[in-house]
Amino acid sequence: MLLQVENGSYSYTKENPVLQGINFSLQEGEILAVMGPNGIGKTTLLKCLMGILKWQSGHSLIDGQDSGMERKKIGYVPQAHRFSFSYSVRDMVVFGRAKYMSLLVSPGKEDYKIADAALEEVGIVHLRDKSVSRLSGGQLQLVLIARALAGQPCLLILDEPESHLDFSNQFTILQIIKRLAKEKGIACVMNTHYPDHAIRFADHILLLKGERYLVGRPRDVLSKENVREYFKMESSMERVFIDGREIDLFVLLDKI
Amino acid sequence: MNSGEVLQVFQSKLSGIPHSGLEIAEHVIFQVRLPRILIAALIGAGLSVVGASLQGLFQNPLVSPDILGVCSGAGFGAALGILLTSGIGYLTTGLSFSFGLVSVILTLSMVRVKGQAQTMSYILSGIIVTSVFSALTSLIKYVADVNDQLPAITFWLMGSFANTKFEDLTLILFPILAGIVGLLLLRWRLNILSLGDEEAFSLGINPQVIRISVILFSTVITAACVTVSGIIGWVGLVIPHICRRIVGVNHSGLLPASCLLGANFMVIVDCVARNLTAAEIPIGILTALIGAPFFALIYSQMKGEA
Repeated sequence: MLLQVENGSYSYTKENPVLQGINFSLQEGEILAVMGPNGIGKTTLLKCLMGILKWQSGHSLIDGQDSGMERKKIGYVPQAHRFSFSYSVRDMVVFGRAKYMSLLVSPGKEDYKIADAALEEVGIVHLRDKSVSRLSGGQLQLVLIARALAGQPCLLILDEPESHLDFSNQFTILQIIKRLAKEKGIACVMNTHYPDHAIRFADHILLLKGERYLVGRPRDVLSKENVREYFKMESSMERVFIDGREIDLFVLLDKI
Repeated sequence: MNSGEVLQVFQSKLSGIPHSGLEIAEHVIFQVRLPRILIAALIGAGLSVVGASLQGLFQNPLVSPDILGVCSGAGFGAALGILLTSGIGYLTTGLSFSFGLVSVILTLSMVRVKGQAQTMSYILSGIIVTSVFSALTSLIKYVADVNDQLPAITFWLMGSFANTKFEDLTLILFPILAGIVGLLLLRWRLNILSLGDEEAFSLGINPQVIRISVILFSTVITAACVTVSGIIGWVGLVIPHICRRIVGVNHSGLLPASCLLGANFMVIVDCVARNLTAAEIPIGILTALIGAPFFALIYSQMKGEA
């Protein structure tokens, strides 16, 4: 078991616990989509997994070790955002090597080689010398994924990786995440607001709301009853066959 | 003194053969001009590298070395020294350096009390400390003797190399060089800090340790600079910007470039300050007069990026 969260709880104020007694586990190469209404604690969960916030009770383990001790094994992909200084793409990706370098050292040949390999992995070698301030949202997201990969993680944590992108770019990003998971055996935890994406790309869904949560296979978690309870929406899941492929469609019907 | 005499003096120094009739020239060169040039270069390099480092640290290209209150603290210390001794002696120098450090300690403890080590808390605390020390400096000016102390304080605060001596060089050489070396060693890490704390943490480094080191080195450099030359503005803001245009934003190249350009800039501006008019113009005035329009020019040419 690569990632294990046992009885994880966190609250910002005493009255309002955000996460309570969360349990789930993730194998190598599996993708977990974290879903739930806005402000329900999805980002808090990611921060606890990364050790930016400390679990107030319970803990998370990576390869059986406390995840705070295993930070090198975690790669984090933030939402694409503007940077104060417009570094080149290659510089930005090599920052992912910082955790392996001692305090006073600058990256060496080997680090740049790994950074270049990461750029290749996500297919943006041609952007190498561009400034990050001149990239589109989709390109920037790919750079941030490459940066996380340069850190050679076992677990990738992604905060809404496909938000603010057009649907073609969303698909590209999610396909790359899926490929990394399957080919390199990297486990991924990602926040998303899109049920379709979770159904299509994730192995498990963690659905959060207040003091409750659900974890399981996408089809089971996004059932009519659960969507009604967690999102106050009527919905339906239809299995269709298109060109011989079996595809689950998630449709929202009405607000309750 | 003409350039031939200067050459002769160097020749005699190097060959060890005393050159009769050039004792005065020798004294001028080695006791007055050379120290002054070296001090100007050190201070130019120091202020520029501090500016570049703090801009990276606070993720803001408009930050300058006085952001944490060092300059106003050191200025207050010097004013206090002049008030107490009516001169610029060891007490003034010591007080200036100490209050430079004290002001940053105050700023940092205010951030600590607030509990959030956010960039904005550093900047706001710096503003608070700066304004308190400026007010105290005004108070000292108000009670100072109008005939000698007040002009001395005023000229000191304008920033000038006019009164620098060989002893000043020995005084600031070590702190400034040590600070510059410290910052240069951390230069690549500054890139990662410039991404913000959470992102730096998620990249596996401890932002707090590096931030405190950078602030410490910067404070020592700035306090040492202000102690001998008074407050010289704009250099620490403008030079890093020019260097970013030349070598790019990566702090690995930016910090060494800022050192070199800052040193050269300061020596040249000091030459201008000495020679432009019969009476020397305080260099703080010139750096602002040259720096501000230059900055406006660069800024107007920037296309939506820092």
